[in-house]
Amino acid sequence: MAITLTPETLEYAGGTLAREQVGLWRDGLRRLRRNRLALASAVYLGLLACTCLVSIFWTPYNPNLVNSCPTYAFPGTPGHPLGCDDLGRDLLSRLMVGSQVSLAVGLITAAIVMVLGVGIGLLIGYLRGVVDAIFALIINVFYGVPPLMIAIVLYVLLGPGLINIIIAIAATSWMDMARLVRGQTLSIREREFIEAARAGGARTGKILFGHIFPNALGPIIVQTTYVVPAAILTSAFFSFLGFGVPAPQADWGGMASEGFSPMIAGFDPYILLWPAIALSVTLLAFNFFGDGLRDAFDPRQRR
Amino acid sequence: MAGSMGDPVLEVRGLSTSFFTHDGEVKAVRDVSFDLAAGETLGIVGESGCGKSVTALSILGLLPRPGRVVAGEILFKGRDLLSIGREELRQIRGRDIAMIFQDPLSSLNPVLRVGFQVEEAMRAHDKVAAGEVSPRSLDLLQRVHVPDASRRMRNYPHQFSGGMRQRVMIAMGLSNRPEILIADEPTTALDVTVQAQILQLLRDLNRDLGTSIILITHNLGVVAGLCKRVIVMYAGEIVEEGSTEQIFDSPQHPYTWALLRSLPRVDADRHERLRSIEGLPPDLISPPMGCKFNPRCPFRLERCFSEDPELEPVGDGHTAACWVTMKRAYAEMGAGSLVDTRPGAASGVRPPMADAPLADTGGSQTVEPQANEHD
Repeated sequence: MAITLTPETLEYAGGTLAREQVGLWRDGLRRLRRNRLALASAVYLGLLACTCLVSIFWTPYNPNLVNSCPTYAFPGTPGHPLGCDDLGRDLLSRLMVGSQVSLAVGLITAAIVMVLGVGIGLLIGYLRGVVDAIFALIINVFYGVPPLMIAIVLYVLLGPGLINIIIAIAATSWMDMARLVRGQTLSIREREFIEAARAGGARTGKILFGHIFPNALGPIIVQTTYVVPAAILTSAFFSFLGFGVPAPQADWGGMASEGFSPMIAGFDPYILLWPAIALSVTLLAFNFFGDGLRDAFDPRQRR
Repeated sequence: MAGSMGDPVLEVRGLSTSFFTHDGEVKAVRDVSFDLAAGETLGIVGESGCGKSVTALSILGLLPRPGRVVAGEILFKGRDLLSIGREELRQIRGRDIAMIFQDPLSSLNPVLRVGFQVEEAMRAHDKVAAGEVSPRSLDLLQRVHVPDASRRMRNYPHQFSGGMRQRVMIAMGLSNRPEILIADEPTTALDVTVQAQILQLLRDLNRDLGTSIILITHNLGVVAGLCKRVIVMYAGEIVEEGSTEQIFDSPQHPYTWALLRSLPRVDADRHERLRSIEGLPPDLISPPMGCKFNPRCPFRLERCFSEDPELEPVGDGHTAACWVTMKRAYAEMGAGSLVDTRPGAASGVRPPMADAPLADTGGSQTVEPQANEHD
């Protein structure tokens, strides 16, 4: 062949052809970049992740050190930009450390939900029949179990701890993922390339994880980004009620709880306000990011 | 690798496959027997829903629920594929018997790169050494004439045209050097020029590699271009079998004859119209008594309504299942100049139930056998 198609000639050939050559993922990422809200959310979440990592090694003050500054110091106090709480602990330091709990709960729960939900969803969508019926029942039972109940039971049995919260939330939120993946599997397994793969002698595991899973990956990722904020919110709620991580470990839900009485008493509303703002913005960012991902990777929204 | 012509690699004996639906047992394939010699090209033709694809899926053990093989045996080199274990059958699929499908658009996984999919086909079996997989996939894509194969390997299926995708499917099918390639309507989704290219490719591969090919199609023109032997199926049964010349030059079953008349020919008189076959293939839950083709056959006799004809020799290696056969239809019923092809028109035989109007036998509907089918 006299003419070889190099990337240069492709670009020369014009926008349409060059665009045609872009892979599915890169195309989706480009659409995501064009979505300003999602982009801003991604930037915020990146900063949050950095803050979280930094707080593991360094905070302005020891977050659990009592009387590191005057109690109820207002924001803007020199050296304490966010002020201090009722025990004189630096709120900025506590807020930074609190992100560890939120992100850990959100991400670990999402990972567990993804593994459980995808595994079960693939299996029941592929096997159908009796297995599907049994799991439909199990899923419905789990929908009826409130996460708070499991959290309390584990609190009583094992004492307070981060792992209990994660177990309680994961155990009550894998069902949506399983249902989603089951539906995806049911439709993908009927497509011709699955039959072609089987005709080529592919093993069942290969068909499940090599063919069906990659085709369902878009919706799975989107669903996962919705699990993260839900888990963060639930864990903050547990902490607010006192079933969360044990004191004095700082976390946003617990901080909000600690700030509740001072606000009612009229001393210092900021103790409650800072964790509430951090929590809200983080949840919002995860949701916007999830929406952006869905818009970017859902072929029906493609323009 | 190519064995000498004559020793069969595949023997299908009395294969019957049914789908057990809520409405009853759909007998999709009934008592089908045929041999496939090493290096042979065999065509299976017939209208939509006459059991061609089900026969192929039965061979590979890929019948969708609620389908089941109810009788018969499928001997691949003497081993009955119906009685071996699932893992053994999986190993034969793709390694010894490969299959390519009608729609190359949907037969490739849209989210995986093309080269990766070709390699996957080899990794499913141990026939090709691990170190050989990657260079071989490039070699295969070049062999099926994918231009600029080393770059195209990294593309996704949606970046390929229909013809190129079918080439990739053929490369995947051939990747483990199978002895049999089953091509189920490989050209139906492609336009005519690409069809010709794909057929040429299959012909070359059959000649160069000695792979036996079973070509399943409703398009007799495609069969004529590739196959040495042809099986004509109707309503789940083989109605005629013979060499391509025999089938095309002197079809003996009225169904084959009618199929051929519905095929456009360059050597036909210009004013001659294409003849469609009256009626539809029968309901396979309760097929008609006697010969299954009797509701649509212009040459039917009284006997056709009560007795089911067996495949009988009508020439050297040529069999047909018909009480009349076209030899007699030409001699006694003027088949050569027949214009009215309504059921019973040439023989004047009406169904035994006098009150049954002609329309009920399907006389008012016509079907183009050439129309695309959606299996």
